[in-house]
Amino acid sequence: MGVATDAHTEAATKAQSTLVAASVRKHFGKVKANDGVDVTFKGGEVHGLLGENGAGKSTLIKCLTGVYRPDSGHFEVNGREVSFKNPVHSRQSGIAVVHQNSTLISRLSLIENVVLQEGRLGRITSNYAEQLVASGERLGFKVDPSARVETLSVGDRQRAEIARAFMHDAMFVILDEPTAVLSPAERESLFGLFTALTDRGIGIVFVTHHLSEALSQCTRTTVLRHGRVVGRLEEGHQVDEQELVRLIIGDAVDGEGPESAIPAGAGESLIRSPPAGASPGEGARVSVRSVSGAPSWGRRLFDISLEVRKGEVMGIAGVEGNGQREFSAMLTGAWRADEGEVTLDGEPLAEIPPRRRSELIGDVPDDHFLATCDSLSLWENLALSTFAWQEAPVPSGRSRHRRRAGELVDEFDIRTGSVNTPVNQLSGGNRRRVILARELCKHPILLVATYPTRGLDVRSAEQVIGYLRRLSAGGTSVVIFSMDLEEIIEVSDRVAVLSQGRITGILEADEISIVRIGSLMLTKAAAC
Amino acid sequence: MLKRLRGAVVPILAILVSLLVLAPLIRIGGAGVMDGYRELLKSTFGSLVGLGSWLTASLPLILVGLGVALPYRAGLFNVGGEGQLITGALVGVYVGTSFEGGPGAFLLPMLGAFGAAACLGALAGWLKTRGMHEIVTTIMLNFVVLFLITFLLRGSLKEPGLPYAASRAVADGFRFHRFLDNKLPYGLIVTLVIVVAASWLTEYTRFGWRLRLLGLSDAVAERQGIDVKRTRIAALALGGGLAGLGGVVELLGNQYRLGANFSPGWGFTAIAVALLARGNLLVVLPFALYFGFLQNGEVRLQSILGLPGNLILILAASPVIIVAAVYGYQTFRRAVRVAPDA
Repeated sequence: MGVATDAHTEAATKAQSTLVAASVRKHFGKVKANDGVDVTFKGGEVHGLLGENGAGKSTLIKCLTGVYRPDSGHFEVNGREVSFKNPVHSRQSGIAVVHQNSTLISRLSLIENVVLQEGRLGRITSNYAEQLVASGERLGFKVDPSARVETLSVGDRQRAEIARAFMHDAMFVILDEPTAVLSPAERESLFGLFTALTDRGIGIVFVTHHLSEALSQCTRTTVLRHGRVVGRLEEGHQVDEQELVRLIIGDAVDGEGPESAIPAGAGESLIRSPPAGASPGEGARVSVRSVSGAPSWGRRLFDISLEVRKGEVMGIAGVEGNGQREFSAMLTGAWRADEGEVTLDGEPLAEIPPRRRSELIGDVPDDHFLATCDSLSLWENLALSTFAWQEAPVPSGRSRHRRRAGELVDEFDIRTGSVNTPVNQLSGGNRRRVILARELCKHPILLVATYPTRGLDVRSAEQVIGYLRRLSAGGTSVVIFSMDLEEIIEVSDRVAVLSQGRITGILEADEISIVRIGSLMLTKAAAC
Repeated sequence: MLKRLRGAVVPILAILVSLLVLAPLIRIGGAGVMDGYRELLKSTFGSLVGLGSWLTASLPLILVGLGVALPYRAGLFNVGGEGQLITGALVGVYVGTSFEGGPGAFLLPMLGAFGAAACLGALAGWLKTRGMHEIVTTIMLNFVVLFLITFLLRGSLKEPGLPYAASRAVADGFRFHRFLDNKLPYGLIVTLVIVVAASWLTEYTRFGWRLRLLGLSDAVAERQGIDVKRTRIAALALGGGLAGLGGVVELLGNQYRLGANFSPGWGFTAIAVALLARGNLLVVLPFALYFGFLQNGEVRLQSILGLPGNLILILAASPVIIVAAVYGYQTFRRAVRVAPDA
C-alpha cells in the first residue's frame, strides 16, 4: 500500500514521495498510546493530524522521528521498509520535525545550535552557516546564522528551525502544533511557507488543534482517537467543523473510552464553593499602580496600571513575549517590580506572607516547567504548595494526599496510569490539567492563568473555560493571558492589551471587538 | 520502598567493583591479595580498639557529609566543608579553653561552632545571591580559614612549650566521656541525633520541602512563593553549621587540640560521601561509615603489609568516579531520548 513510486507515476512532474506508517503499535504499560496506526503521507500535500490530547499524535511523531521504537509495525519511505534507530537516522531518511516547543538553545546563536544538533565531535569541516542560509533561501526567507536565538521573535525561531530541518533535503516535515505560539500575521506567513514547500514536492504533516486551520490548509486529514485512526478525510472531502469535532472526541453516547463518562460539568463539585470574602460585584480585587521594572530573567514592563474587580474575568490580549510571563509573575507575587505597587484587596502584595499568598492566588503559568517538577509524582505535584506552606509532608499524610489526588484525576479527567506516575511521563495537556486542578482547588480569590488552553484539544479547552467562568461566578477574579482573540472575547468581561511591555489599551465590555484589540496590539511602536 | 533501594544499587555495586580493583593493586604492591583484604577487615573488626577508632574517625565525616548533602538537596554544592569544619573546631577550642565546663557543657562549644560555621556558610549563600557561584566562594573560604588557623597557631592560639603547632587542649568538663570499655565517645550518640534531626528537617518539614523544591527547580520554587535567595542562604548556612559540628565533635571526642593537621581532608571526602548518598541525609550515614572504615584501614595496610597508603585513596576515589560516570550516562540517555522508562 502507498507505494507510489512505480514507473508510470513518473509521468507527473516529480515522482511523489511517500511515508507510510503500517500498523504502528506502541504501548506504555497499560496505556495504548498507538494501537495499530496506519497512515500514508504523500509528498506535495499538507496532511493534517488531529486528535484529542493523549490520542496518540505525539507518540506517532516520536516513533516517526526515531525517539521511540514502536512495539510492532513498521515504516516505509518511498516503498522501502525502514525502522528508525534514532533521531539522526530518521533525519537522514528525509524526515524533519519541528517540535511544538522550540528546541533551540536561546543563549546560543543559530549556527551554534545547528552545529550542536549535527552532534559531531572534532573539527567542523562543513560550512553549516552557508547551508543554513541556502536552506532558508530555498524556502523563501532570510536566516541570519549569527543571530542569537533569544533576540529572535517566536516566528523567526520557528522559521529558523524549519530552515535547520531542511538542511538535509528532507522529503517530509512534521510540524507539531506550529501555530500555537504564533501571532495571526506570523501564522499567515507560515501558511505561505506551506505552499512553497508543497510546490517543491515536500510533504507536510501538520498537527493542530485549530479545526479551521486543518480545514483550510490540509489536503488530507487523519484523525486519531485512543491510539487508533478513527477518521480519514481524503482530498476534496467536504466536512464541517461539527463533524470533525465528533470524529475527534467520539460520539458522547457511544460509550467508548473513559472520557464519555465525564459529565459536562466535571470539576464542578470541587470549585463551586465561593471562597470566603469573595462576593462578586463592586470593588477592586487587584490594583496595579504604575509598575515598571524587569526581572532578571525577562523583559521590562513599562508603567503598568490596571484594576481587576471582584468576580471579573480580565483578559489580557497580546502576542507571547510582550511581557506576559513578567506580568503574571508580578500579579502572583513571584516577582516584585522595582517601581510601583500591586495590591490585593487593598493590601500591598509584597507584604502578604508567601503562605497566605499561595492560598489566595492561583497561578497557572504559561510553561508547565514553571509549575510542576519532573521527578516528582503526580500526587506530589498536586500537593506542591500544600507541602511548602500549609502541612508538613510527613509519611502519615501520604495516603490521604494520594486519595485526594485520585479524586482530582477523576474530576479533571487527567489520563494517567496512577497517581504515583512522575509528571514527566504525562502528555503536555495532562500536565496542564494537573496544574489547573491544583490551582483551582485552592479556591483562590485571584486566579492568574497564562494561555490556560494552550495545547489542549477543543473539548478540554472548553472545559477549562468553563472552570474559569464558574470560578468567576463564585467571586474569584480571573486574569487570563491569551493570544487567541476569539477565546479572550468569549471569556472576558474586560480586555487589556499588552504590547512590548506596555498596556496599550483597556476595553470595556461593550467596546470589545477583534478589530479594536488587533489595532491596540499594533500600537506598540507609538509609545517607544 | 523498593524504588528507594534501587537508587542504592549503583553506589553499592561501585564499591564492590572498587574492592575488586584493589586485588591487583595489592599484588603489585608486593603483598598477598588475601592478606590485604584480611588486614583491611581486621583493622576495624579485629578488635574493640579497631571498632572504636573506626566509629570515632567516622563521626566528623558523617557530620560534614550532612553539611554537603543538605545544600545539595537545595541544588547547591558546598565545597567549603573543610573550612567550616575547622571553623567549628576553632570556636570549640576558644570556648573549651576559656571555661571549666561541667555536665552538659559540651552543648556550649557545639552551639558556638554551629553558629560560627553557619555564618561562614551563610556568607557563601549571600555571595550566591549576589551572583557569585557557591563552588568558587566555598573553595576560597576554605583557604581563608586554613590560613587564619596557620596564622593563629603561630601566635596566640599555640600552647607555649609544645614541640608542634597545636592549641591548648579543651578542658575536661567539655570533653565527651567515653563508653564501651572507654573506646567510644558519647559524641556518637550526639551525632546520631543530629543525623536523624537533619534528615527529618529535609524530608518531613515544610521548610525541607521548600528546600528540596528549590533543588528540583528554582523556577517552580519561585512560582510557589518561595524566597529563593533566603532559602539558598539558609541551606548553605545549615550546611556550614553541620560541617562545623563535625569539627567540634572531633575536637571534644578525639583530638581535644586544634593542630595544623586537624583534618585529613574530611571536608573533601564528604563531597564523595554526599554524592554517593545522592544527597539523602540518612544514607550519608552508611557511606560515611564506609569511608571511615577505609581510612581506619590505611595505617594497618601501611605498617603491617608495607603497602602505600595511596591504595586507600584509590579505593575511596574509584566508586565516586564510577558513580559519577553512571549518573552522567543516565542523564545523557535521558537527554537523548525523552522516552519514559515505563
